Amino acid sequence: MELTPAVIGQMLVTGVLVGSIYGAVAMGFSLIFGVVRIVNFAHAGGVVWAMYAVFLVTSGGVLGPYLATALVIPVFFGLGYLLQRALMVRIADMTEEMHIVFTFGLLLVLTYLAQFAFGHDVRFLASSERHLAFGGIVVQREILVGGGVAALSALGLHVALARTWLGKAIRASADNRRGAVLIGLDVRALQRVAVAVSVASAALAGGLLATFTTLYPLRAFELAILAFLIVVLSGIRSLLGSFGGGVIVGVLEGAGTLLLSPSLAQLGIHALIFAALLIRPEGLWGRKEAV
Amino acid sequence: MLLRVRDLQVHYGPFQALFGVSLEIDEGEAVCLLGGNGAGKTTTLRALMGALPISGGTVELLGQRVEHRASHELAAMGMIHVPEGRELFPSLTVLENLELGCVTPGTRRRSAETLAVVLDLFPALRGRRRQLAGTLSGGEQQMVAIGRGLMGRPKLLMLDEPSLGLAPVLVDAVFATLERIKAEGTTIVVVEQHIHHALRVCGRGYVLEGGRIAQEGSTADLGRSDRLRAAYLGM
Repeated sequence: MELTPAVIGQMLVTGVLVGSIYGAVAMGFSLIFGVVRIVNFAHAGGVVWAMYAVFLVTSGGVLGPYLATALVIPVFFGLGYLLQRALMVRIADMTEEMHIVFTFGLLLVLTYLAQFAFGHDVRFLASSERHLAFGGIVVQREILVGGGVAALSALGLHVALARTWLGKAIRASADNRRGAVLIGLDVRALQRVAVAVSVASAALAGGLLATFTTLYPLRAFELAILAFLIVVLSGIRSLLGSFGGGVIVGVLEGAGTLLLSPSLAQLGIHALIFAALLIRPEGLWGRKEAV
Repeated sequence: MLLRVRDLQVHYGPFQALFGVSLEIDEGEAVCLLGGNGAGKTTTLRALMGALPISGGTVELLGQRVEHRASHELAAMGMIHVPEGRELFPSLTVLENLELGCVTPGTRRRSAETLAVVLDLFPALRGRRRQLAGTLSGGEQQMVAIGRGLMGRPKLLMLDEPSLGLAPVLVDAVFATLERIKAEGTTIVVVEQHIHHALRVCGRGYVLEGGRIAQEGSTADLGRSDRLRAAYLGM
């Protein structure tokens, strides 16, 4: 393909939009890490199960994928609340290695349950086949809507954490948990809300991804590694930083696919992230010293 | 009676830290807990605040038994803790730190009003509202910690070593503030190493020694006590 300005522009726009959804996945991942101090690899398992849920609801033929997503989000919010209440609170005081064993194990369980329930087949939702064109750049409608909704939700989450009392209390318990307990904040309740919001954000990202990408159980592993790399690249503490990291990875993926090939693009992304971390081990937006 | 503690016992694993501490605090009083390092002052405060498990004894707050309630439930009842070492939220702003002291919906509704009172008490914080709490000096951080406690409109304000790590002139300022808070009618319990300051603000005191109450009485009597000096000098 010839690299005309329109082709490059299209690659950038699509990359930013798809990257916004990666960013939303990464934000949910770093929200849990910030508040509960658990690296939750199972987060991507939630994304993929949300994709299947949206796929199943949509295949009923009554609801479109966006309404299906709106239906799945509150269910996942409740599941996240239960996940924290019943499971994660029990492992919170264990070592980080145990956290990884536990959440990676949960990712395996979710992946193999998906394989058992849905098989290995690659599935996809019917596309609207509608495209929007401006200035020679053509974008599939689902990608435009998905990226836009993901970016707005990320902004909404950021504003809610910055401005509301509940958001400030969640940030406070991430900043100094002992202090939060001592002054009388109900830290366990705040953690349950934070994990519920995180899992709900996984459902949103899953629903949006399902509208334009393929779906198979092992997608969970690819997304888990992608989200982990994004938050490590961004410095895991900053939610907006994680979102920005997602956008960068989306653009790199687009550029790699355009210039090389899809599989070489994945290799290229990981090589670039590795190189970035060698130069800035604290992450792109991370502070030199963790407070 | 605002707070009645009977025979409070606390264990850290197999080690007993408190061997039956009893305290009585009336509304409007200012009471100090004195004693050397390891005497059990902070343990007493944290156990009362629900931050440590209690292995024996009873705690009555406003006539209700509360010895197994969690910190956030006690804070909602008006027992507010200004912890040792300040325990601020360093990457949040001064204003956000203060707002987080409003732990109940009722105090949140009145937060603007309370904030005005707190900023009158600590005018130095007025210009620093948007600054990150972690960038303040030690004295300013202590003001934020006390201010954050006041934002919860405490019935009982429990301060753990508010003078820790502060220069003498700032210690004076902190205790002058405590005198004003007491004059407004807030009941105060303060754990303190600076006995002379504590005795100036508080009407009564308890001296802890080895996890027990060794002495109690008016601060005038305690000030003359050889035993208090002994407790501090570790003799």
